[in-house]
Amino acid sequence: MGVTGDQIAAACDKVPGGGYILARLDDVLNWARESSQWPVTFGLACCAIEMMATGAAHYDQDRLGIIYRATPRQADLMIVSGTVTKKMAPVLRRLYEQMPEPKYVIAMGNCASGGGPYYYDSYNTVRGVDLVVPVDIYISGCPPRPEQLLDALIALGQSYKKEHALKLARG
Amino acid sequence: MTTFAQLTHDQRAHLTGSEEAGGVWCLTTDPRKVRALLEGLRPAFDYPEDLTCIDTGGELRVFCRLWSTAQRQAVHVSLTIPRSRGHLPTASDLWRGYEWQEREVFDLFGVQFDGHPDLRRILTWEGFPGHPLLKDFVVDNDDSSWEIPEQTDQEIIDLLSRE
Repeated sequence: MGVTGDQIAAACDKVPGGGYILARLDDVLNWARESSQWPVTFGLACCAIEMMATGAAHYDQDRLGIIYRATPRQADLMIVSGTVTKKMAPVLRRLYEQMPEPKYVIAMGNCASGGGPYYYDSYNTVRGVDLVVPVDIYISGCPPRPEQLLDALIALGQSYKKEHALKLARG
Repeated sequence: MTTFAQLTHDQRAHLTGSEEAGGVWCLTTDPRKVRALLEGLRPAFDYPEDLTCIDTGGELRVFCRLWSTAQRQAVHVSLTIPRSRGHLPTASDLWRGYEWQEREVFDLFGVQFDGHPDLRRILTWEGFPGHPLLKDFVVDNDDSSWEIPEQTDQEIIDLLSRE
């Protein structure tokens, strides 16, 4: 169902006069959402270093329209990259609550997914960020490679296609 | 230029032991003498590198490392205190950098620093049960009863506006 920029350009050429195209609004909106995922960063530990590497020149997240925002109010998703402590959990929840709907969470790495190496005998680690906020995608690894984060972001983008963007916007 | 022999001679009233190991001057003292010793060290040793604690099981060994930037010389000061309700005089008025270090030792080991301006927990949170780096601290591995503490807007404003 999904359309790409190339397909649109090719379709426009065939239309007499070129300027018009007929499409389902859901498809267009989901295509736009998929192509401009803006994460609010929640870098907490070494996974954040891999997240930075994903954003830097070598892996170049920007080419997918993924641009980090420094405020939850402009963000579509939150990448929780690192160990969530019980002291940090209320802050994380509060930032999540400030994000506009629809919103998604990626738990990056073993710590965020389920406590990781701090599962046993830790007095301060939250054993999985899903105890604090709902998680859409879990990435394993300690830390995961940038390719894994890119894969998760692309998979999340693909999952938008099943959603009704208009319904989500109405809430 | 202070030498080890001169320092141990000048401070001998405040020492219970001293040795030179690997170029570092290691001094041992006790809780009653430590304040006078640190005051004596303050002019030469201007850089507070570390202040931490070890739970040996029988007692707590509080330990600090000072550095002289002019003389490029390190000195270790250590002393032992009982494991429960240990009290020490603060050194945070001598070296401002020790203010947070002492808060950390208080937080993780429960050592009280008398005269500290703001002895609150620093790594764990208000209301944390016990002091987690003590050997007899029991870790609760069951998170099923854990809930996020709800903070009101006013509590957060107060937290952020506190110095």
